[in-house]
Order: sequence, then structure tokens, then C-alpha cells
Amino acid sequence: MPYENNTYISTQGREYTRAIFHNMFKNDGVDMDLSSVASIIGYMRGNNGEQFHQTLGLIKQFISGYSQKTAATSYDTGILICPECSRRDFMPFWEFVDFGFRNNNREWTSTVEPDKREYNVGGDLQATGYHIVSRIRCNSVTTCSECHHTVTGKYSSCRDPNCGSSDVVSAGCGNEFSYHSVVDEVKRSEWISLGRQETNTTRVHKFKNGIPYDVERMGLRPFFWRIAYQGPVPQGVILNDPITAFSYIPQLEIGYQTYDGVQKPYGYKCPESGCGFERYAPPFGEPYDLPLVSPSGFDSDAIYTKTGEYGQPLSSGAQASYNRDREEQRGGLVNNMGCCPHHTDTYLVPKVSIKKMPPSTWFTTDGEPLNDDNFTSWSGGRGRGYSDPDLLEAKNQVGAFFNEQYVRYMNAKPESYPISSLRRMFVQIAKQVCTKCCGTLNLVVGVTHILKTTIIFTHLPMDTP
Amino acid sequence: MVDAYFELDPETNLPPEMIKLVNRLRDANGISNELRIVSDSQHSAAFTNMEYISLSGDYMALAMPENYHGYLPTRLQEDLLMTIQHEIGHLNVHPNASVGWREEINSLPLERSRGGRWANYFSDVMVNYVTGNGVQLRPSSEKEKVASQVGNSMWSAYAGGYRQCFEANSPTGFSGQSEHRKLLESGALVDNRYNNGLYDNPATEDGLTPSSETPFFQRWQGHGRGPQNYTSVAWCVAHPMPVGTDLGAGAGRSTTSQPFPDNWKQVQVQANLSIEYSPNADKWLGYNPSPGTCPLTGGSTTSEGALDAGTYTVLQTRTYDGVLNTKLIRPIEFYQIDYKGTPRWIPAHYCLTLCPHCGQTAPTQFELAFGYKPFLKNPSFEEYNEQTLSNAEKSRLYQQLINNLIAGLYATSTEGYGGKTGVAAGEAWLHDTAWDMHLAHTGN
Repeated sequence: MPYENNTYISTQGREYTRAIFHNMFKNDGVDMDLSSVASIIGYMRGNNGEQFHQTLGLIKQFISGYSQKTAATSYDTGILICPECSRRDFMPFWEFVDFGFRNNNREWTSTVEPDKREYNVGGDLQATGYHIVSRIRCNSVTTCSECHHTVTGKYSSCRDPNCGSSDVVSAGCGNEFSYHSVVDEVKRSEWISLGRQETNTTRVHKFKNGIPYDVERMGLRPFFWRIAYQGPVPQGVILNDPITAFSYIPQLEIGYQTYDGVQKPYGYKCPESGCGFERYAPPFGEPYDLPLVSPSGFDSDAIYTKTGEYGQPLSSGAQASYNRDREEQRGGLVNNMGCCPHHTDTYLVPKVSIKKMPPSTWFTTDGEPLNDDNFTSWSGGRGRGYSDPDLLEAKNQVGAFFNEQYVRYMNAKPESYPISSLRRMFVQIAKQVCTKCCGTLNLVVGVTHILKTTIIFTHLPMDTP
Repeated sequence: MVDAYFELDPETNLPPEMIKLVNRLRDANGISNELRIVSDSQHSAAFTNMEYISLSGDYMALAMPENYHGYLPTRLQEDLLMTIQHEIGHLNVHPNASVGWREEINSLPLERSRGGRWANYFSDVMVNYVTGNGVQLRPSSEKEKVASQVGNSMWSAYAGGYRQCFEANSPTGFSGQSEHRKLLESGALVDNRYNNGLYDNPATEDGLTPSSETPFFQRWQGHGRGPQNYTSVAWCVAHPMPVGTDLGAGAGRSTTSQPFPDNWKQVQVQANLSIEYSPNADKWLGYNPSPGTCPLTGGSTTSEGALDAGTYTVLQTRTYDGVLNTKLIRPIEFYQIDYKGTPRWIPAHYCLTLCPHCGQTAPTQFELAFGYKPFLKNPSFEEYNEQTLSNAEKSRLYQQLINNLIAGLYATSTEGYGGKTGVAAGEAWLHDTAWDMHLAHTGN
């Protein structure tokens, strides 16, 4: 609490009190100056209001409505401050240049296996996770002084179409600084849905006897780490929701494997005998190219045979393919795992290979894979029913084939953990603001004199530290 | 327009005396801005939009002589000026008036939700300081007189000059208003309402219900209608009661010069206290984190024994600069009370003054700022409760406003503070109030 550092009866508090008095009332040290209104008020405000602002800062030292956050709640705020120009913004607006893992000071020149452990983060606080050091550039941003939206890039007016004010401020000095984070294995969806409280939904997916099941994190060993980054927020784009905000900050990707070697991501390998090259993430920092929905060309017959630029089979995402050949089925493939660096014309192939040729008994007379529709005796069904054991067995085999590819899909990508919980971003509630009287009063919904209201999402607090 | 849904013509809705008062102050200030009457429900006071002199009903009531009790005519004239001069001050003194109210708030280094509140507080300090010294008045034969009157009214308004029985500033809420109505109807109080309670253009035949055609001021005049204001306990200790004062309790108006009776000098001690006296600091302490040792000087203290919460009559008063039973309006630091037959000095911080007519708490603005606030005592609760945080911020900002305004008034007063004048007087005041500021801040 700030007040405890400068109580009214302390030496510091008395100095602040005296300074407030002298800042507010013009005097020559002995007599008060009552020469004119302009002189008194001009003195109180100072050049460009600087003295007034300083007085406000002094008074804040006594007003614990402005509560100082404890170190525990200040840690991992998601707010970065440029040490050069003092610009402060939430993490998605900064440009991350490079990353590195750092375990301890004795290992700083060597390649290290990232080590998850407890780190001292200052103020007697410990945090558990992976220690990542980032290089960050103080890039160009523009902040609206009216609605307080920030966008990357330089603009002469607010990019929010609901505002459009020309009262904007640009910042970004171009200098770089480092940022240390201790990243625990918490996904962005968990941070958001649980109010930034930790939980555990990390899983590796397995498949046995045609049925998928999960292995939870306690039974897993991490074997792969990568920092993925798709930020900062594109220039001029207004950021309004936390899920999107998380997508523009660096993510620590971790791969896990079970005790019996099932991996997530399952990885790709060079098919050349004796090569042994493996890759678990797309090259050049690319994100995993894995369709979420059925790609174009994937039809009701579940045949999908498109190939990519290297001739590699393209993925059908979460949809299982039933290609009637002995080539790689497409469910759960990743499109951009690239070629082998040692055999440059050879594209990598999935370590989890599904090449079984579906028999003709798996299909209806129309060529579609069997499914529950084929077992109804009405409307559109083929009417053969569950009494046909061969058909039932075929349907189960079709289902198992689907599950096998679906599990490959589920294990295609590593788990992804944002390097910050953005603890102080999007945490304030929307407020109704009266635009009639002065635009700053918090009003209760239903108050009669609101003539026009607007919803303002509160962004970075503007009080000076 | 100020308020499209509530806009009243001042010519027909103000009493003629108030119109004269407004015109006099407009002339003295050299301004011609219009006066508008606005609703009180949202703004709870007068306010400004930098264009009109805006006056709400409950503030209007502060400019009606009928709502004051125990006042000498000269002092009443002064206090009636304060409200309107304050609002005029927002037009010709207001910081940043050249660019307007909204811009000023937006320029503050505060969250937007807090900007209005903070700007109001700062603006009020400067408006009261400047108008309290008459700096903004145009040169005229009236200037010196108006400046002196408004200066006195500032002391009265903020240094504990009068107590008010009415509304939500009191811990008892609006019960003051309803209790006065009951007392009036039972005959215990002299009727000070307009036309003995009968409205012009009433909505009902009995004349007791106003209509939209009823002049607005009539709703705010008198017991049960507007706030009732009483000279402070300190004033009552040091001055005789003016003839014609409503004694209360059915006794009617006084007919002879006499001291104020005990019911005009009562305070409610808010907490059970253990009183210590610090001779080095020359202060009585009602809270001491280190009993036996003065928290201000480190010297030893003497115990003066326990003191129970309750209602007591004040025998003497002492200001922060040690003046006993001051005849001026100055903040009171200590009361000497009749404690079960024994005179005892206690910090005024723990006392709320009572309404002479209904006996409910009727605090002065100074008491509200500097007084005992136990809800601020629990920091863990405070940290996690938004409503409490907001209340704490309001309370502490108001403390700052009053403390600094009075420092400015002392520093510019001819009487000075503790033998000092000018800057030294202001600094000495701030030094001596540090303990009570600390108590009010921490809820002790």
C-alpha cells in the first residue's frame, strides 16, 4: 500500500503534504500571491498542466483507492514497458524478435534441454515453468487519446470506426530490450475460461482396439520444445477479444510422449533407409498447416488424393480419408513438414503411417463408407439393419479406421502455451458512459438522465506508475 | 440546454431575495451567465457546465435564510452567498476554463472513470480558495465587502461553521428531513415553511402538495422540506443565542438574549475510547498504537481513563492552534465535554455534532472530512471490495480538499495560525493536522 510508505505523520508524508500545498497555491515562500485569477490558476496548472499532474501524483500517494498491487498480482501482467522511451502496452502489440531458453547462468553458452523448475522472479516470489528470454523491439504503435484503443503502425486518426478521433499519439522508439518469462503449461483457453487460474487439460491421445483414449500430463514426458510466434497484431487492427490477443503473443509449444513412445506431435521422418532424420515442427517457424474442416475436394465418398508442391499427400484434417489404395491415408497429416535436408527431393513422411487399403465391404453401393445411416430401416437407409453380422463388423472396422486417423489428427500438433497469462488485459468490465455531461462518469444502468450511452472496454490503465 | 428533462425558469422559481443575491454576485464578479435550476437527484448539488450557473434544489436551499437557525443576521448574509459564489467561481475561476470541462478531465493522468471525481475536487479547492479571497471580483465599491463576506462563508462552509440536518451525508440518511416534518406537525417546531406550508398553485385542495406550477423554491424551504442548518457547537459555546431563535421542543422562539441551551451544544462520541494526554505534543489521544508513548513525539503520555461512547454536552472547545472557545469560525481539534459530571477533553475527531431540534447527527463538512471512519480500518477488506475502495477514495480525496483549502485560507487570513501568517501559517496548519489526517485515513 502506498500510504504506509508515507503516512501523514511520517517525514516523507509531511514533505509530500507540504509539496502539495506549495504546488497548489502560488507563493514566494513567505507570502501568498493573490495577484490575479490567471496567475493563481496558471501557477497551479504549470506549463502544459505539468505541475497539476505532479500534484495529482503526490495526492495519489495518500489515496489508497489507488491500491498498489502486490508483487504477486503484478507479476505476469502482460504489460511491457520500454526502458528507453517508457512506452507501455500490452504484449500483443510488441514485436518479438528472438527467443531463447535459459536454465541457469552456467549453461548460457550451450545448447540446453529446457528445464521446468521453480525460478525466483523477484520480490520473494517463485514461479514454476520454463525460463524463456525474449528480445523485443519497441515497434510503432498509435494510441487514441479518446477511446484509448491501441493499434500497431502509425496513423493520424483512430482506427476504431466507432471513434475515428484525430487525437492520437504515436509511440515506438525502435530500441530493443529483453523480457524474461517463466512459462507454465497452461493453454490460452484455460487462462480465459478460468479467469487466468491454472488447470490441466494437456493430453496425448492413444488408440487401442479401435477406441481412442487419453493419457494425461502426469503420465507424459516432454520431448520437444519450440517457441511459435505469429505476432504482433497486424497493423491497424483493433484488438477486442482475449482469444485473438493470445494468438499474437509467443507460444511455448511442448511435445509429449507416453511411456510406450506415443508422441504428440507424432512427427515426420525421412523415408530413405538409413537416414533417420526426423522433424516435429514445420521448418522456418511456420505454424502447423492442418485443416480444421474438410478441405475442398473432400467429398462424401471420403476420397481425398490431392498432393502438395513436393508431391506430398495433403491432409484431410480431422476427417478420415478412405482412399482405396495402399498410399498414406490423409486424416491427421500436416501439409508443410517439408523435405529431408539430407535428401532434398524427398518429402518427409509421417511417423504414424496409416496405409491400410479399405476393403470394398466397407462401402455402400453408392461408394460411401458405412455409417449409422446404413442401419436404419427407414428414410434413406439401406434397410439391412443390425441383424447382418458381417455388415455390423464392417461398420465397426470403418469406425476404427476413422478413429485411428482422428487420433493422428489429435496428436499432430504439440500443446501450445502462451508465454504470458495477460493477467491485466481484458480484466475490467465494460462501463456505460454518459456522453452528454462529461463522458467520464460511471453510471448505473437505468439512470434516467442517460441520453446516449456507449460501451467502453477499458484498456491499459492510464495512471502513471 | 443543461437538462432537457428538467429546466426551470429562475425568475418564477426562485424567491425574489435570491434573485437579488444572484444579480449582486453576477455584478461583483463581472459576469452575465444565465442561472439555471437543475434536478438534484443525479448531481446532488450545484454543478457547472462552464456556461450556466447551475443550481439544484438542495443547494438552492442553502441560499434560503429560513433554513438557518441560531444565526446572527450578518453571518447569515455571508453564508447565503457561499453557494452561489462557488458556482459562479466555476465560471470565472475554474482551472482550464479556456478549453472546457471535458478537456480538463480528459487531460488528467487518471482512469477516465475517476477523472470527473478528481477534477471536481481540485477544481473546488481552487474555486473556493480564489473566491474566498475575492481575487476574481471586478474592481468596485462592493469588492472589499463581498470579498470579506465570501471569505467568512468559506470558513463557515468548510471549517465547521454550521451543521446540517437533512440527508445522506449524515449517517442517518434522510431521516433528518422526515424527523423534522414529524416535529413540525406535532407543534414542537416553529413553522418556517413558505406560507406556513401552503404551496402556491398546489396540486391538492389542502395546499400541501406542490404541482409543476408551484415555484420550485417552495419545496425546499422549511422543516421537513429542505436541509436545516444550525450554527456549530463551537459557535454556540462562544456566542449568545440570537433573540428569535427557535428553541425547539415546543418552546417557540427565544425572546431574550441568553446562552445557547445544552441541546445546541451536544455531540455524539462515536466509539469507546481510552484517552491519553501527550504533554510534548499537547494533544489528547483517543487512539494510540503504542500506549504510554506518544506516536508523534516519542515522549511519554498520561492515561486519562476510559470514555464511553454516547451523547455529551460540550463545555469548551479548542482549535488546532490552541485557541480556547474561539469566536471565529475555525476547525476544532478538541472538545471539553461534561462526562458524567466531570469535564473531560477529548479529540473532536471522534465526535459528530447533533441537531439541536431533532437530536440526530448533523455533522459539519469538516467533521465529515476529518471525522472517525471505522469502515476504513480493515485494509484486507478494503483491498478486495470495490465499493469500499470507492468510498475510501472519496473520503480521502475530500480530506485532502478540506485540509488544503483550510491551509490556503489560514495562509491568506489576517488572523493567521498560531501566531504565524502567510505561507508559515498554512504550513503550520498542515503540520498540526497530520495526526487527525492519519486517523481519518486509517479509520482509527
